[in-house]
Amino acid sequence: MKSFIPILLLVISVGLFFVVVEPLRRSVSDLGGGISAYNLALSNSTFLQKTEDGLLEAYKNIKKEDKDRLEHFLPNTVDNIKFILEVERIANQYGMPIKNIKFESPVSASGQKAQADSAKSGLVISSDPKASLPYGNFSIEFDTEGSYSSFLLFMKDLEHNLRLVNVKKVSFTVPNGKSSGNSSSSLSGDQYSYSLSVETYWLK
Amino acid sequence: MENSFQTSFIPKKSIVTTSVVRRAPTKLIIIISVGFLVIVLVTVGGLFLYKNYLLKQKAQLSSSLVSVRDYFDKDNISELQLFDKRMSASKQILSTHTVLSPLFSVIGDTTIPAVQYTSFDQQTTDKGFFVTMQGVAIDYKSVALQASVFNSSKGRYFKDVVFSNLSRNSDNYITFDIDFSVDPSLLSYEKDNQLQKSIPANNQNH
Repeated sequence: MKSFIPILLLVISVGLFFVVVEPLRRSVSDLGGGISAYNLALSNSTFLQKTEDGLLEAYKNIKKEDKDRLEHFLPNTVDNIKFILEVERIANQYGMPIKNIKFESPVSASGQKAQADSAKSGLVISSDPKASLPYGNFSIEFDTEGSYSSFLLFMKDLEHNLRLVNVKKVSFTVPNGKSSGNSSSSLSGDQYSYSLSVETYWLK
Repeated sequence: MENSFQTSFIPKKSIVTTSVVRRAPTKLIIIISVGFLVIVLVTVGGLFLYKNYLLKQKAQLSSSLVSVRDYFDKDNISELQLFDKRMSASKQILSTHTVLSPLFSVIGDTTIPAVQYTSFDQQTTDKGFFVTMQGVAIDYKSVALQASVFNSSKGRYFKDVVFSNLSRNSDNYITFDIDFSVDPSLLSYEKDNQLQKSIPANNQNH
């Protein structure tokens, strides 16, 4: 009977070790790991708070006019009608009427057209590289008329407009009357007819 | 005389000695097993207390993190992200943006009085900037002179200049076509923008 008690105590001890101590040790270890992660997150958050404060301070120091200019330079939406009106306004300053405006809808121009074409043909085509850009392009083509000096001023103004405009294509012809004496053209001698293709950008 | 007579076969002395030896290990085993049990129980208690302490600490840290998260204003972060996106996209666009105005200026400077261009066609492709023009000259010598101007330092921005389709028209003038590509440095927006800014400054100085 006496020798049974130590064996019983040992069995209880071993049982307690495996049933209670070991799971407790594991959960304590897990908790310790979790707390380390919390501490790391807290120290990171302190760093992030400082960074955010610094960035907000820098952002507040930028003048509102400059922020507005930047937004006009690269607007959030394509706003194609406003863009066409802006081009027309600049052209009108130099007495150059805008005619035959042609443009594709910005959505079809940025990839859906290619997808539709590939669906029709059944071909798998690579995705448009422009689709990965943070900005979209919107192109218009139009004709205008005016003197060469007015055209140069119009081009300069258009290129240095606040909303960025990229002139992709220009073509014009001197009226026949100017070079050969044949006055079949409706335009007078110093009035040329120009075809332009321009594009602008917006933030996607 | 020594009494070596053994009255019993039971070794009395040895019985006493054996009983002492048996009791000592039993006691030791009991002490060890009790000690082991105590150690296990103390460990359980310690771990339990430590676990409770860690749980409380975790709860405190969790509430601290929640309050820190509330510190960050989502609207501010979105505004900063949008601004950053706009800035980097603008830089990306400007790095490749070009202007055509300087091209007309250089064409004007390189054209001799005996030559007139009657049409202009420019295209921007991935390979570069290409121009095709048609022109009229008083005579062949003027065309040759114009070609030499393109080959001089004045025409350094024009590459691969090719004159073609030379013929005499009904007015006895020489008509011709000309193709060339344009050095992209001439059309750099940044360069042109700096030039535009420097012009008013120079005007003010004068």
